[in-house]
Amino acid sequence: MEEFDKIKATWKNQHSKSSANDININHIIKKYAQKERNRKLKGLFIVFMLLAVLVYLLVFADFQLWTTYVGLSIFVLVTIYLIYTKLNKGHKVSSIELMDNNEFLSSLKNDETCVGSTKQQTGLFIFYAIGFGFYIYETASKDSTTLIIGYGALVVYLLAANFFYFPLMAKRNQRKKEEIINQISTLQNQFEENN
Amino acid sequence: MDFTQIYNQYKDKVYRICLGYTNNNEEAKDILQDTFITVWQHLDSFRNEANIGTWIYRIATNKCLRSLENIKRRSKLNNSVLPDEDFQREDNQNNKIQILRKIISTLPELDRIIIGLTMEDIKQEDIAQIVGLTHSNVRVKTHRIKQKILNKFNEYGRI
Repeated sequence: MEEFDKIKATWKNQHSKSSANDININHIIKKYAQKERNRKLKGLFIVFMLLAVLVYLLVFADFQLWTTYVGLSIFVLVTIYLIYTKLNKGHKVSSIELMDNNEFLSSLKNDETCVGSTKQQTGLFIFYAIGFGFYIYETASKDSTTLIIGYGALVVYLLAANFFYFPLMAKRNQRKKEEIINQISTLQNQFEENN
Repeated sequence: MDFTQIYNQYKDKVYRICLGYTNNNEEAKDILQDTFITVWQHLDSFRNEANIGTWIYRIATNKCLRSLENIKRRSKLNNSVLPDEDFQREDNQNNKIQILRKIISTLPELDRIIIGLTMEDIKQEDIAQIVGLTHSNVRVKTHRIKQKILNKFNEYGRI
C-alpha cells in the first residue's frame, strides 16, 4: 500500500490551502455562549413575567368564579411548558452527538419517530382551548346569548382545527418526517451491511 | 489540556475529515465550528474518558452525518458528489487533490468517514469505536476502500 501512502500525503498537503486557520474559535465560542445565555435569560424572563401576572391576578383580581382562575392558570402553565421544551431541545440534540455513529443514527431515527411535533401542537392547542373555555365562562354566563356565541365560536374553532388544520399539518409533518427517516435508514443500512 | 490547546491540536485533522465527507470547504468549516462548540459544551463531561481524540472525531463524524441529512432535506438532491466551486488552480498537486476529493465524495457516507479517519492515521480500533462497528469489520472495510480509491486514482493516471 505504498501507493496509498502517497495519496495520504497528497491529502494531508491540501490543508495548507484550507480555511480552517481562518476560524477564531474563541470568538465563535464566546458569541455562541452569549447567544445561549440570552436565549435562556429571555425564556426565564418570559416565565417570570407570566408567573408574576398570574400571581397578581390570583391575588388582586376580583373574579367571581373559580373557572376564571383555572383558565388563567392553564394558559400560564401551558406557555411555561412550551418555553421549557424549546429551551431543552438544543441540549438533547448535542448529547446524542457524543455517541458512536451507529448509536447516533439509531437515536436520531428514534427521536424522529417518537417526537411527534403535530401531536405536541395538538395537545397544546387543546389545553389552550380548555383554558379559554374556563376563562370566558364568567363573562359568557351573564346572559344566554353571550354564552351561546362564546362557546359556539369555541366549538366551531375546535372543529375547524380538528378536521382541517391539524390533519393538514399532520400530513405535511408526516411527509417531512418520512423523508428524514428514509435518509437516516439509508445511512443505517451502510452500517448493517458490515455487521 | 485546555480548550484552545485541544482545538489547535485537532482542528486540522477534524477539518480534513469533514472536507473528505462534504467535499465543500465552507461546509467543512461550518461542521468544524459546530464540532468544537459541542466539544466546548461537553468538555466537563469528558474528563474521565481515555482518548479525547476518539471523542472529538465521534462528535465531528456525527455532525457530518447530521449535516448531510440536513443538506438532503434542504436541497432534495443526492449529495454524493458536491462540486467544489472554490477550487480554481490548475497545477498538478491541486489537480490530484481535486480528483481525490471527487473520488472520496463518490463513496458511501460510512466509507467516507472511515477513509477520512484512516487518512489521519487513526488506529483501526479507534475508528471502530468512533463508527460503532467491530474492529474486524473496519479492517475489511478499510482495505476495500483503499483498493477502490487506488483503482479510481489509477484510472485517472495521476499517481
